[in-house]
Amino acid sequence: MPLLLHSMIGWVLVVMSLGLIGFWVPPEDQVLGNSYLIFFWHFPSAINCMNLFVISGVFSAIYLFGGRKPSMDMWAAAAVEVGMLACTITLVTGGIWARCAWAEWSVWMFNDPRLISVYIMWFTYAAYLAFRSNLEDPRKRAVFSSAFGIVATINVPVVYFAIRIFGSQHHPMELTLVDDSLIVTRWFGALAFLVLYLALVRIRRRVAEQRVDVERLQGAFGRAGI
Amino acid sequence: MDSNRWATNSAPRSPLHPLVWLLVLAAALVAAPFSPSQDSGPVAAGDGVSGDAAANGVPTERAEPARPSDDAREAKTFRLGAPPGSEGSSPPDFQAYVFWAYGLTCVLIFGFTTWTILQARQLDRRVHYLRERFERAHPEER
Repeated sequence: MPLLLHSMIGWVLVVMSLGLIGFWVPPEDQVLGNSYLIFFWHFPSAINCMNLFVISGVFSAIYLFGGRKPSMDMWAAAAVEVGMLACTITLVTGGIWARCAWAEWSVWMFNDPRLISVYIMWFTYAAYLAFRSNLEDPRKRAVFSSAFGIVATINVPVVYFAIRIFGSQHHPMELTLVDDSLIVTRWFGALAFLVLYLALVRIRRRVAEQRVDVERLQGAFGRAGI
Repeated sequence: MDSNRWATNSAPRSPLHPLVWLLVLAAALVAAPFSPSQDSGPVAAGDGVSGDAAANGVPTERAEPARPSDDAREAKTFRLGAPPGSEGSSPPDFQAYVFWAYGLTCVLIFGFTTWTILQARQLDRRVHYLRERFERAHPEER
């Protein structure tokens, strides 16, 4: 699928999910009031950030154990970059929703296993990007980043199962949605954001490819003594 | 493995990936106005969002948040989407919070997309320039 068309479909689906939230789902919840509407963009980013980090781990493993093709490393890095965006959106929307639901900005809550594991995940992948940008030799960068990416992926199931494993102070393991419109809107949003994020991953991958082109040309200049 | 697939990069690299700075900045901007000092202390009971503030879409510092029942908080499953009851106790209005959550999401995605597109254009120009320069220097390798 052409990249431009893919991106446009992603944006249209996200706008459609906004339409469902605005015009289809009930405007208020009995306990949380209208703050529960934040859930419909919090959940898609949360689930897709984990998806993207797992995708990154898979590409890292393919790179490391499957012939070391540079394109696999580029896909892994692109997935991490977009995953970081999704994780940030999750933290931002979650933090605002927490203020409404728990009377605290979740940014400052350090007693909940789910939140702590997400913070750890965010900082781990921030370190991945910082680490990656500081290695100059492209081959070393790819190998070390892939190893880092595989290790970092271990935290993803920990985030998902944190509540089952450690219990929870605040964050519920699951939400029971009482209406079909809520269920449809939730999963439609997840699909919409997945399409958009995958388009962004493709764009980031193209940027990575361009960067390698620049590096190759600069290397050629160096070898030619220009 | 083909050794020409990678080339040595001689360009100086930034100490930290720009994306990290961007995201840290976004997180800091979100977190800064919500510092603990502003929100510390117990929330006074009955001190909910004032009618004027809610109408203007401005959250008050002492907006009383909805608190799920103890049973619901301890359970791992939370029921969501039940319509407000008819006891006359309607939940507070969080319209401004919803606005900020959705607005910041849009800003982050738009910002990220714009940054990526600008970066792609810049790199495209750079590749084009380097190729032209290389071909001028080595016309036989065209």
